[in-house]
Amino acid sequence: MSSKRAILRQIRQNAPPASDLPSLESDWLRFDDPCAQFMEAVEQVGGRAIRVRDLAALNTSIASLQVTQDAKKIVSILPDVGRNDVRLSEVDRPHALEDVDVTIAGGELAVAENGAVWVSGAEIEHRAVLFLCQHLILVVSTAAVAHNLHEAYDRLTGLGLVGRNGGADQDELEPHQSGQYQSGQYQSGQYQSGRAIPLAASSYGLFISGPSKTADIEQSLVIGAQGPRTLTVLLVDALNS
Amino acid sequence: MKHAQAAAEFIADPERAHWHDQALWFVRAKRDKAAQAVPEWEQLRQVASQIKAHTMGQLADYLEQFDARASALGVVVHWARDAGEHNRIVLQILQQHQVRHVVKSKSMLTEECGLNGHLEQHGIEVVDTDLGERIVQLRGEHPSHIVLPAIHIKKAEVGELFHQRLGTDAGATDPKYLTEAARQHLRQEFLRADAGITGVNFAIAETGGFVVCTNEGNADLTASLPKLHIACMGIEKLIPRARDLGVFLRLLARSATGQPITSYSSHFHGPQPGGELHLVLVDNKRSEILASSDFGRALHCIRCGACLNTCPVYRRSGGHSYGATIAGPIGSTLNPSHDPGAYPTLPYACSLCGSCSEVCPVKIDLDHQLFTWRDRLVRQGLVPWWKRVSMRALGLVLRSPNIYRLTGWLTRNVGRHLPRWLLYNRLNVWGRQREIPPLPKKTFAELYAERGPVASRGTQSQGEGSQLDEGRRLGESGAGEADRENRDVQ
Repeated sequence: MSSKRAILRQIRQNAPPASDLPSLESDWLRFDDPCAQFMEAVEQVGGRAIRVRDLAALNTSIASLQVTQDAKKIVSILPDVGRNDVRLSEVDRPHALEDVDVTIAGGELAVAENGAVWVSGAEIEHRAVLFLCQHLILVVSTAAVAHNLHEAYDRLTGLGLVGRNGGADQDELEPHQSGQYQSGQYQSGQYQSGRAIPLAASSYGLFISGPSKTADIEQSLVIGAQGPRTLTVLLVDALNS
Repeated sequence: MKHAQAAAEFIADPERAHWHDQALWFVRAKRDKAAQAVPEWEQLRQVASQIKAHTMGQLADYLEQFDARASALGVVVHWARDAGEHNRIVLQILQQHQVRHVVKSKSMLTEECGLNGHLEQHGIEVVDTDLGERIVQLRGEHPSHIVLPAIHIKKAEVGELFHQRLGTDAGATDPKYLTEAARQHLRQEFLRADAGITGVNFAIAETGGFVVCTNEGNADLTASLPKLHIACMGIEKLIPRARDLGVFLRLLARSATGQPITSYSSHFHGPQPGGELHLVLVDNKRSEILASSDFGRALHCIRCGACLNTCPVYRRSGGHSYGATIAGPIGSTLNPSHDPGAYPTLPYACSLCGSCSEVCPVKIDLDHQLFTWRDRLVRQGLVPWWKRVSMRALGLVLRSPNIYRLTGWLTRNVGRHLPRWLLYNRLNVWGRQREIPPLPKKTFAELYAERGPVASRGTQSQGEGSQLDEGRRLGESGAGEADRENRDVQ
C-alpha cells in the first residue's frame, strides 16, 4: 500500500467527530480613518509611511528619499515610478541582483490593522529582488487600504466587496485558470477598490509588514536581518492621474 | 533524562535561570498587549478553534483536496508515514538534483525528523538560515524554543561563537553588530545554495497553496534563489479555506511575539517560473494521535510558542530540560502522545496553573491534557515506585477521616519537633528547594468551631465575600498574575 493510502486510511479510521466550519462573517475591527491607521501601523512595525497626492508627487517623494539618493543600483518594477537601472527580463539568475540597493514595487492591497502590504509575485520577474535589495519601497493606492486582514483575504480570494453577500462561490475559483487576473493591471492604473485578486493565480504573493528584523539575540530587536534594512511605503491618493 | 534532573542543570546557575525567566515574561507581556488591542480577540480564538476541530474531522478529505489542487499547480506532492520516510524522500530529491549545499528556513518538523543529521550523513551540507537556528546549529545544539530557538543563549556567548566561527571581533557582544555579521555570512550561503528547504505554517486545501511566516525574510530567500524548493509539513497544518488565514494570521504573530503580523507572510502556489517545488506531507504518528479524544486536540497547535512563554515551569527550567523537539506545555502533551515511555516525566513539568490554556490562540485544553496524562501514566505504571507508594498512602489518609485526623495531629504535634535531617532527607524531593511552611497550632476545624454559629456573623461573612471577589479580580488581571509569579519565586 502506498504511504498516501495508508495515511489517509488511518486518518479516516481515527477521525474525530464531524463539526461545522464556522462562518467568517462578523463585525471585525474597523477604523474611522483606515489610511491614517495604516500609516501608524507601518511605523509601529519599523517601517516608514508617506502619503502623496499623485504620480508626480510620488516621484518627487521617491527621489528625495535618502535611500534612493545614495543608491547606485535601483530596480523599479513600476513603469514611470522612480529610476530603473536593471531590466529584470534580461537577468538570467536572481543571484545577479545581489548588489541592488533599492527595489521599488507595487502593492495591490494594504491592511490598516497591521501595516501589511500585499505584493503579488506575478508582476515580478525575479521575486528574490524583494529580499536581496538593501532597501525596499512599496507603492500602494489609498483606495487599496482594507480595514483588517479578513477584508484583505476577501479581496484576495475574489470575494471582493460584492462577494461578501454571497455573490461569488468559492468553489468556482479554479486556482490555476482564473483568467480575470492579468498581470500588468496595476501598471495600467486600473486598480479599483474591491477588485478581485485571485490568490492562487500567481505562484507567489506575500504580505510585507515592516523591514526584515530579528530579536534572536537576547530579545534585542535588530532591524535588517536577512532581507531589506528599511521599508518605505508610499500611499498615493490619485494613482491614475 | 527526567525533566527534573535536566532542569536541575539549568537552574544550577540561578542568575541565568532568572534572566531566562525574565526574557520570556517580557515576550508574554508583549503578547498580552497585542491581544488586548484586538477587541474581538476571544471571538478569533473561538473561530480558530472551531476551524481546527472541523478540519480534523474531515482531514482525509481536505488532504486529498489539497493534494489534487497543489498537483494541478505543478507542485510535486510526497507522502511520508514517518520521520525515516520523510528523510529518505528529501534526500532522494536532493540527490536527483546533485545538490551539495542546502539552505533551510525554520521548520520544527524537520527538527522532529532529524533531517539535518540525515542529510549530513550523506554528504549534503545544511545551513539553517534563521538567525536563532543558525546560532544553535553552530553550537551543535537544538532549538530550546519553537519560535525563539536561541532564547537560552546570552549575547556574550553568541559573540564568542561568532568570533570563532564567523571571525567577528573578539569580545564583541552588540546584537546589532552580531546580526550584521550573520547577515553577511548567510547571504553568501543563500547565494551558493543549490536547493532550499522551508517549513509550512498553513496549507490551504481549497487552493493547494501554503503559507510560510518569518520576520527575517530568510524563508523567501531560501525559496527564491535556488531553483529547487522543498517544503515539509505535518499533515495537521491544513486549513480548509484561504480566508481562514485572516483568522490565523491575526492570531499567530500576536500570540508569538506581540507583533500584529510577521514581517513576511509568503503564499506559495506552485513553483517559481523555471523552478521546481516539492511538498512532503508527514504523518509521523499524527494520524494515531488524532484518535484520542483526550489528546487529539493538541494537533490544533499552530506553533506560536505562547504557552511556553507563559509557563512558569518552562521559563524556569529552559527548553532543553524537556529533552524533546517541542518543549513547554504543548510539548509535554505531544511528546507522550508520540511515546509515553520516553517522556513520562513531562506531564509533571507543570504546576497546573492553567495559564497555557488561557493564552493558546486555538484554545487547546493544555492543562487538562497534562492532568489527564498523569492519570494515564499512573495507570500504565510509568511513574516511579516512590510516587506510586506515596500516592497510595495519601489515598489511604484522604479516604479515612480518622486516619486523616491522626495524621494531622501527628504532623502538628510531633512534626514540628522533628530534626531537620529527618524532614529534609533524600526522600523528601519536594523539600529540596522548599521549606515546609510553619505548622499551625490549631486545625481549620478547630478554628471554625471557635468562631461560633454562622447566623451570628452576617456582616463579617459579607466582608469576607468582598475580599474573595477582590482576590479573584486580582487573579484575573495581568498584575495579579505577576504578583503570584513573584510569590512563586520566593
